[in-house]
Amino acid sequence: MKKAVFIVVLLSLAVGITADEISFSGFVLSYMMPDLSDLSNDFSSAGLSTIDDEIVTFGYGSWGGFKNVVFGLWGYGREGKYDGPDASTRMFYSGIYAEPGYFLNIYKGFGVMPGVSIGASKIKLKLRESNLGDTDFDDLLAEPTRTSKVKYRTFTVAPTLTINIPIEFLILSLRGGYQWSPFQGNWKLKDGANLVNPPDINISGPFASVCLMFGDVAKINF
Amino acid sequence: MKKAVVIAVLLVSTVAFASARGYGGFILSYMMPNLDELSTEFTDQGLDPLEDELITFGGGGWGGTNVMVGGWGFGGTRTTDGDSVSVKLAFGGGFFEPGYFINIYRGFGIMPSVGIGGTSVSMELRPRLGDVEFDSLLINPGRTSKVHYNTFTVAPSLTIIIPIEFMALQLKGGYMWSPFSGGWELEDGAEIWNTPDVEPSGIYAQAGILFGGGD
Repeated sequence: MKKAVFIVVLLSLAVGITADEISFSGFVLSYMMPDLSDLSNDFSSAGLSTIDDEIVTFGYGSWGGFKNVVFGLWGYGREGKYDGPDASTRMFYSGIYAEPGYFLNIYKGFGVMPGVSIGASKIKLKLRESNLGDTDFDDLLAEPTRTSKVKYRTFTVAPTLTINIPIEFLILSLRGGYQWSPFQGNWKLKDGANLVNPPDINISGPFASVCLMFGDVAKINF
Repeated sequence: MKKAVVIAVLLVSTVAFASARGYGGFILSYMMPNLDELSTEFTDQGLDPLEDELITFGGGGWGGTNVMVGGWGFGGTRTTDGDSVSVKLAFGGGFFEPGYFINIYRGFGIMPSVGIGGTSVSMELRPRLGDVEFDSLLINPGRTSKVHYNTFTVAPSLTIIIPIEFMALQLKGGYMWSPFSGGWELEDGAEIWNTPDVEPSGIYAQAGILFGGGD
């Protein structure tokens, strides 16, 4: 998730440099509904707490452009902890998107923007045994079997509709859309070995976001 | 290392907005940290010893007039194998670097500077592993470990800038000094005892291809 946020901040800087007509950026709070039921069943079978399909995520985004054509970048992420008798798992659910859109100015910066987000969604699991104790450096070199990391990544397209409401120097954005992952994603073990029989994940699902943006409202008074 | 490079790129972006002279680009470094004690631990466990001489890759950027402000980062990895365990060691760092550019002739000049930042050593340890079922991984996730060492570092240096059209060749030499002993941390949150001392202090030399310019 940190990596996604870094990339979004970097790309946002790039957008800020290239798009001087209008630009606004800020925080994105999203309500998402990915289908994680297969993964949740595996968690449950292993004695871990189950995963809620409704996830509130936090993120950052930046949009800018000339006249009505707008290009944006946004990302989101959320971490959850799932404990069981044998192991404990931290799950990071995140995504990062490029979003071209078209801003229809209705009145002094108040307007709607249909767009299409194109990017990737990711699930990262950090697993550790529940009863891990402290260790000696020599013992660690001899027997380093303590944790595992697994990643799932898939291409995602998300048509969106955004309503921009300028309030003084802020812009309140209300967004809705649908995340669609047309292809089956890949599971990968960080240690390089193969992961056999991983669960199916379907990131596809509707989402809604509330964004608090900072930008020069005067610039979008077309 | 990735984090250090990202920080360096961010600093480059910041610098790019506020400079009459600005450079940013890629850096190749030759470094000589003292990893003797860590290397001894490795050989005790049947792993190959570590070399003290490392080639690292990174990026950086500097901007200003005569007073220059910049940042740079570096990182390099080395994999060491033993009979039962393999260790991937990453050596990296990131620095904020103010300096003073002395223009000798049309952008050719020298810049004494002081880097202030941190260096890190991280190790990913992995025994010989087979494939695994997802279900059994959830119950028995003990496969690998990751451990980090971080320390504060100061790096005085002297840079020669040779402008070539819209690029510049950077030649730099300096010394990394870590006055305090750093700390080892296990990524899984447990404590780690009897850790070896790592001494990142040592001389380094760099060659960089930078983009940008100034009079």
